[in-house]
Parts: sequence; C-alpha cells; structure tokens
Amino acid sequence: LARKPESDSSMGLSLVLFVRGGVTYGVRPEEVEGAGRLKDFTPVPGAPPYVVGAVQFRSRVISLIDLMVFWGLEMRGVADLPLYIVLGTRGEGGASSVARVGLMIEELEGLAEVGRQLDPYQAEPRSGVTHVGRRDNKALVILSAAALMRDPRLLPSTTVGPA
Amino acid sequence: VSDPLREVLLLFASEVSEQSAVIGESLVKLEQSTQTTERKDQLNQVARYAHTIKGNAGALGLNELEELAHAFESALAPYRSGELAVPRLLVQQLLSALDHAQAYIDATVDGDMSARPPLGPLAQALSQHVIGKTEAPAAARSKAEPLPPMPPPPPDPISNPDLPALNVPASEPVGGLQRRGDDTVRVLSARLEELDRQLDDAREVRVALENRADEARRALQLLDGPAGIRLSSVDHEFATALRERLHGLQRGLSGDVAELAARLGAAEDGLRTLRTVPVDSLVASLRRGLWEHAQSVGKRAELAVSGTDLALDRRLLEALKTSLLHLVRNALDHGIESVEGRRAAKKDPVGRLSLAVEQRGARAQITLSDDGRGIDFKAVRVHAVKRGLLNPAQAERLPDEAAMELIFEPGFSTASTVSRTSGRGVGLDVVRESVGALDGTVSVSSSMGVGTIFTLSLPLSITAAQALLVRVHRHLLAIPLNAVVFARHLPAKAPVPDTLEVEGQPLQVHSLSALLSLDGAATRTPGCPIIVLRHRDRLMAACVDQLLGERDVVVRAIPPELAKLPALAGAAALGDGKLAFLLSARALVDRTGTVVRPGKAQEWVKRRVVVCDDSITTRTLHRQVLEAAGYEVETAADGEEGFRLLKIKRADLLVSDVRMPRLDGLSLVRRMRSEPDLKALPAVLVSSLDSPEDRRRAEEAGATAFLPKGHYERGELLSIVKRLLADKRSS
Repeated sequence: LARKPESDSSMGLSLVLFVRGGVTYGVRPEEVEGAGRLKDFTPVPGAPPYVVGAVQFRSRVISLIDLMVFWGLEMRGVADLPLYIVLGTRGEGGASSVARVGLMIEELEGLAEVGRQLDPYQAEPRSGVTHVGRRDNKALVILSAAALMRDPRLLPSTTVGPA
Repeated sequence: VSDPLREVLLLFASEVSEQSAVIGESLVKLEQSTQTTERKDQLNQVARYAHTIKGNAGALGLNELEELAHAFESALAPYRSGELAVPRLLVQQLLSALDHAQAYIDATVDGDMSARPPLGPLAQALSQHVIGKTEAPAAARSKAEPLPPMPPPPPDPISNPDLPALNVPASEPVGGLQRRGDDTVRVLSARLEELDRQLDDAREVRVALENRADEARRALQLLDGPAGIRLSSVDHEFATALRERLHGLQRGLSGDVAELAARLGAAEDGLRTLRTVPVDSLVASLRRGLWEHAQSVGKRAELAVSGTDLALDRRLLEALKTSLLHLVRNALDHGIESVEGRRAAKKDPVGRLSLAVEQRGARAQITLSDDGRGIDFKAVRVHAVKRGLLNPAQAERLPDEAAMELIFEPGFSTASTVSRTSGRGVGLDVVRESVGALDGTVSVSSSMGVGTIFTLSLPLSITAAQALLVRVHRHLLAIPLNAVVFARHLPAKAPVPDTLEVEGQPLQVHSLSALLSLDGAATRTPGCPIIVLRHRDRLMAACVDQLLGERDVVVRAIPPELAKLPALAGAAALGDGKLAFLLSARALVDRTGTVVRPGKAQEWVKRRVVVCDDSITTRTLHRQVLEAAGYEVETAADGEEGFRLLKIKRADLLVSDVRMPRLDGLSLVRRMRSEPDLKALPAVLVSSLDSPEDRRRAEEAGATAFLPKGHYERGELLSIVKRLLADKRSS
C-alpha cells in the first residue's frame, strides 16, 4: 500500500482504491497508512454517530469513521463492515504530528493506475472529496486525506496553555 | 560560570547540538532540492530552529551567538518562498556558521572564554550576503555570487586532542541529556515510541501463545473425558502417546509464555526507565528563576532540595516545570518577607524554599515549602468579599481550610503590588489546572508567620496507570484508581438507592450510563455495583453494570476528535490488544459531584503524623509502616523543616530522629513545648543511642516516648503511635 506513486506523467495516476456504499474511492498511496480486517473494536462512550468505534493500529488509538454518516447520508454508523483503511496526513511538526483516521469500508481493491483525466468535484460539499472520474465505466471518487482532516470535526479543539 | 547557569548552558548546548544536526541536514537537502514546496518546507524548518537558538542565546546573554543566529535567519529570508534556489556557497557558509556556533557554546560551557571563536565576522559576512541576494534577479539564481571570505572553521573538539577537555564528569546526567564523549546517548522520543510499538507487537504474540496453550489444555481435557476413554479402549497405546505429547506441548507452551512474559516485563521496565528523568533536571531552572525573581523584587532566598533524584516521566516533568516555576515566584512575591521584615521577625535574612520529592506508591509527592509569612486568611476572606465570591456572613463562617481553596480561584490574588510574574491574578488557578491535566492534584497548607507548603501529587508515569475496570452496557471503561473511593456491590436484588451516605454526606447515585449518554436504558439494575469517585473536595456516586477489577494499564493518547469528548481522559491498552476508554474522574465529579463539608467529614479525616529524620531510608520505612496502618504521614529531613510541618500541617503526632542537621530532635521537641499549639502534641524520639543518659535527655526535652532504633523491627513504633493517638483522642 505504501508504494510510491509513479511520477512519469505519461502513466496513469496511482491510487489506493476502496469501496464504501457501492462507490469506489481513490486516495493517494502516500496518504494511506495501512488497512486492517475488523476483528474487534472498542465503542467510544459519548462519541458522535459517525464514530463507529476505535482500534489500536500500530500502538496508536485510531477512530473508525463511517463516511456515510460523516457526510450526512445515513443516520448511524455501520459496525459490521469487514475492513478499515487508515489515512494519515503529516502536519508541520514532523512524524509526531501525523493526523490519522480509520474509515470503515466494504472492500479494499488495492493499488491501481487510473487515468489522469479527473474532474473537480462540484456536487454538494463532502469533506475530503476533491475530484471525480470514471474507471471501468464506474464512478470513481477521489478522496484527499488532508482535506478530510481539515474538517473541524476532526481537528483538535483550541486549547489554552499554562500562562 | 556559576553552577546553575552552567547546567542551563549544558542543556542549551545539548539542544543546539540536536537542532544544528537537523539544520545541517535540512541545508544539505535544500541544496539538492529542485521542488519549490520541498525547499519551502526545509527552509521553514531551518528558520524555526534558528529562531529558537536566537531566542535562547539572547535569554542566556550570549549576544554574539544571538547576532549570528539573527544573521542566519536574515540570510535565508529572501529564499523562504522556495522560489529561489539557495546558492551552494551560502549553504557552505551557513554550515560553517553552525560549527562555529557549536564551538562557541562548548567553550562557554567549559568556562574557557578565550577558546570561543569570534562570531562577529561571520554574522557580518552573512548580513552582506543578504543585501546582495535580495536584489538579485531571478535569472541569476543559479549563478553563485562571490561571498565575503569566511573565517577558518573552528577545530573539531572530537578530533582535536589539543582542545581543552570538557569539565563535565562523564557520568553526570543533566536533564537526561548527555554531552559528546559520554558513554550514553540521547534518544529521540520517536524512537522510544517505535520501541513501544515493537513491544506491543510482542505482547500480541504473547497473547496468541497463551491462546495456543489454552487450546492444548482443552485438548488434554477432551482426552481425559469420555472421548479419551473411548479412544483408549480402541487403541490404548496411541491414546497414551497422544496424551503424553499433548502434555509436553502444553508444558512447553506454558514455559515459553512465562519466559516471554518475563522478558517482556524486563523490556517494559527498561523502556520505562528510558522515559524518565530525575527531578534534579528541573532544579537548575528553578534556582535560576528564584535568583532572577529575587533580584527583581529585592528579596533574598535560597532553594534547598531533597529527593530530587527520583525520576519521573520526561513529558510530565516538562509540563510540570512551568507550574513549579510559578510556585517559586509566588513564594517570593507572597511568602518570603523582605530582608528587614525577616530580621524583625527574628528569621534568617535569607528566605528558605524547600523542594522535596518523594515516591508514594505509583505517585510522586512534590512539596514546595517556604519559611515566609504564610497566608493571611483574614486578607483572603476580605478579598473574597470584595470580589463578590462570598458575602460577609459567609466569609465569617468560612473555615481556614476552605479559605485556602479560594487562592486557587481564577483571578484571585491578595497581593497589594502586581509583579511581572505573579500577583496579577493569574497563576494558582492555572497551576491547579495544569497539574490536574497531568492527573495530579495541588493542595496548600499555611500557618501565619511560619510559612506555606504547596503539595503536588502526580503519577510517576504518564503512560502507566492503575485503573478500575467496569462495564456499562457494551462499554468497557477504565477509571483511574486514585479517584476511586470505593466500589461495591449492593446486596442481591436490592434496589439502587437515590442517595448514598459517604463520609457523612448524602450523595445522589447517578447512572454512569446516563451520565455518558450511552445507548440503552440508564443502568439502575437491582443489586448492581456502585462506585464512588473523588476529585479534590467533591464526591460522586454512580451505578454500573459490572465491576471487572483493578488492572495495570498502558495509557494511550486518543485522537483529537475523541479528545474533545469531555468525559474521556485517554485510552487504556489492556495488554491483550483490547482497549478500554479511560474516564476523566475530574470531568465526572466536577459535573455531578457534591462538595464534602469539612464538618461532616471530620471523623473520616486521617490522623496526621510528621516523621522527621535526615536518613531517607528511615523516613521511608517509618512512612510506609504508618501509612499501612492508615495514618497520613508528612516527612521532613531536619528539625527546622519538621517544626514548620508541625505548625502548618496541624499534625497529631511527631516521630523524630535525635541527631539531625539544622535542628536536632531534642531541640525540636523543646521548641514544640514552648509553642502554645504544639505544647501537648505527642512526640516520639527514635534514636540509635540507648543509654539511660540519652533517655533522660529525651524526657527532659519533653518527649512523650523514646524508642531505640533497634526496637523498631519489633513493631513497637506502631504500637506506641497507636497508643499515644488513642490517648489524645480520649483526652
């Protein structure tokens, strides 16, 4: 998953593809930290409905989010999806400031080359969605982890340090 | 260079060494980089570090270095957008400047000012470059401009044996940081985290092995049951051989699991040690802060320390530093009197602050005491009325203990003058908040004319904690054990009461499920367990579905979207790959808790014993014995400190050594007997001297009991303490 994307512009765009709600999503490989089979997860007390639970991923606690609920398309997160994919974006503070989130998914298609012809996403706003395209005559939605992580719901609250 | 300053310089040198390495690496990458964004990122990193060095150099009065760092920053300013490539010659110049800066700092630390390379010409050369380069057209970006000549690089202290040796002893740790040439290395915390992750993976292997051993055990049970008997009747030899092999496999697996667990435990201990730093590392900056502030307020004071070799989690200590510095300045502003004032009060003109650190179970107790004027409770009450916190009648009735709590109210200050750092209404509330965020508590005791003691209690480690595990619906939840007053089952089928009397106080029994807005109905099942939690002076009670017992847990940070949830303090990794969310006792208790009224809770207050001995071993031994018997124990390393504790902490009994520095045990008891409030206080003198003459002296001084140290092992101390306190209660 962590393979570097091809830089040759004559080739297609390397993306990690996954499926949720029957739609294929693509995300840049450098924004993918890994994926896992959901054997066990911990429900989060008092969490909003889009947080299905939390898992330990490489000794870090990661929230599992259901994008359908996060985008307001469904009312409640689905806990029985078989897989999750962990997205991460590096902040300014180096490795320690990587923001990560897990997305519940139905299927992981893995790394694939898709055509570079993508259109900017212009439908009603969905955090993280930047472009749309087609692959094998099916819709392909491009997700940016960096854009997703800028959603205020995933940002830390402002805190005031000691005087 | 004075010792405290040298310690700060050592820290600075170590920090610059690390920052220089990163800057150097970035500069090299910068020179090789072709992408605008990459260049911009590298430049931002370099500029950040250079700026930090500049600020620290300025604070330490290293003006030449400050100027060089400023020129360094300015030289890179035209390139910050990443549009222009940084010329190779400039990169070389900057790298050379780094070497000079390091040599300059090293010589300063060594106190060898003549070995400091001049930095002025370098700064000037870099400044000249700035002027030339900012006006250069973009077309000229690849053409390196001639740069002013640079001074020769300083000699490398590692390869040059002629350079004076460092004055730092090789084994001297400074804030967990080590200089070059020591036989230890600095470890980046990211590496420690990586090691932690590897350990986690190994823990999962252990769990998997345990499961395999369980499978083997179940298979053996099958063979011992009817199925095994059937198999044995068909082929006895085969069944026996199978049983033996399974036995061997199960024994082998169990042995492997035990071996792995032992090795994991050792590795975990090692990692914990790597994460800790002695409190000593803070002392230099506290002394410096005290010295500087004393100069600015025109007072004199010194800081004595004891027990500061105790190591705490490095991150905890870093977070604690600001709070301790504030308390030190606060003591100077509000506690320590002026030189004239101290003379008039027949005190040493130099005020004394004492920082004592002691391990108490899985927590560290840090006390910062001063021998100043103490807190004026009358002034506190008047000020509270003035600020509208209390009406005059309430203020009149307010006990001293409650009045003391007012000083932690936001914006509360009785200081008549406002100083730069304290006495401006910002401070003690922030200290309590900051310490609370570390799962710690702050309390204060004071006695007019004698002094004030701030007591901080903190976990030894941020990552390890003891927790009570409970289940509510499908949620496995962890509650910090230090917040749990008790947890118990109601009698079977007994309905959950609306209120519960705890410490003489009726508490409303909440449903934890409802408090956390969990799915499902509020848990009030008859016979369900009830937990009672405490935070500061508040108690709360709640019912849960199931008590799962106490566990040692590894506390993990939670992602920002979960950290926003007020009831969560973190996540507890349970060692078998499972997680339980760690609840914030503070959030739960502050939201729903009932303040315990001192009057009602009086009978529950533990009897307080002051133990005074200059030997930490004896102090700890006495403390452990007395604490195990349910007493609250305060310790002091000499008679002066002990006397102050007796006055400020309103103790019930003294246990003291005879031979001690500053004020010996006999003099301490004599002084007690001359104080109206301590006149009747039981005093036990414990001594290695056991002649009739020694006993007579103790009796003459006013000791209530005399115990030779040899008798200690026979449990006599405890029985004497019990007897004397029982006598005191009945009288």
